[in-house]
Amino acid sequence: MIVWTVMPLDLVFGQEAIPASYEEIVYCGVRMLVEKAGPYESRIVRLLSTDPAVFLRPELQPGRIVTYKPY
Amino acid sequence: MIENDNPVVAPPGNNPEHRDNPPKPEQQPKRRQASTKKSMQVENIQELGSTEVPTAKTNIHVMTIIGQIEGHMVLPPQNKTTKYEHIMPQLVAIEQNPEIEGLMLLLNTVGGDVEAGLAIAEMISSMSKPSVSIVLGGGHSIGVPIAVSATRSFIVESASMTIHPIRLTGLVIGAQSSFDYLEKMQERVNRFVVGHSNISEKKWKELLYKTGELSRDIGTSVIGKDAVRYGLIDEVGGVSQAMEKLNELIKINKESKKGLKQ
Repeated sequence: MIVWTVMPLDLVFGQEAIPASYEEIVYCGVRMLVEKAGPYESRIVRLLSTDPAVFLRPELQPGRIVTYKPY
Repeated sequence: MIENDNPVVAPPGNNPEHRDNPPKPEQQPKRRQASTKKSMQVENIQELGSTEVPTAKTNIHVMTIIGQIEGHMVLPPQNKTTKYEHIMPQLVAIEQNPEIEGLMLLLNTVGGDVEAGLAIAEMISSMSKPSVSIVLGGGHSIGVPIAVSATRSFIVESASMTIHPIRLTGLVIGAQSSFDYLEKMQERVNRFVVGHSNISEKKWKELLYKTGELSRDIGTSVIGKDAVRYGLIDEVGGVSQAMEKLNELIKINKESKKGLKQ
């Protein structure tokens, strides 16, 4: 990987990142990678769909918090 | 009634500091309606796990091949990976769904697992639906077979593809057999690339084993137009050219199917 940036490299690679706890879920019929954000809450990291229309749905934008009820 | 057509000064009655002139509550009920609709939507999501969202129907699907191609080992989470357990079922679904007529592949990959990459490439090349690929940024190593597996391949002018032999690191037990295995693996890649692009085997091997191009390494870094010149990639172009080509291919595919039915 080659990085070209004005940011100092020790800021880019900085401190050891806390290992993210990613999870794959199906939400609104779309498979996605989410990151735990709290109890029954997750932040969308990446959509794992091939349907380009899914990426335009405002409620599925990466960074959005999704909430779900426990079974 | 005084008409205010001054765009700078707000019409009277809109100053929130004037208590005796409260803002007209025209907007209020509308917003509330929207919010109840939204909360209903949220409830729908929570209760049923689904929601009725108006979505634009598209006849093409997009697949991004990004980061590392992940093989049998799960890579640490700081790696951005393309996993074949995601890609393969999606490809099957695309092939099976009659509403999807074409596939666009976006590549920006550094390479990765040879067999996973070849598996994805074989899946794409054996699809009956037309596909186009665009190499953006980089399509290195095992990204090359994936890029050429599409019906028509594109590369943007600034993108590069590093062509180099498959390598092995770490402890090797049984040097001779490992070497033979590695050579066979290389041969599989060579055959796929030569078979699915316009490059000759001689030229491909020349690029593969070239010395002096990459410092202290063998191989070649092929950029944009050069990839087209060698016959590795079909055209230089971005998303609009690729989309145009895909639509054209879809049309041809449809017509040939119509011909079969008659």
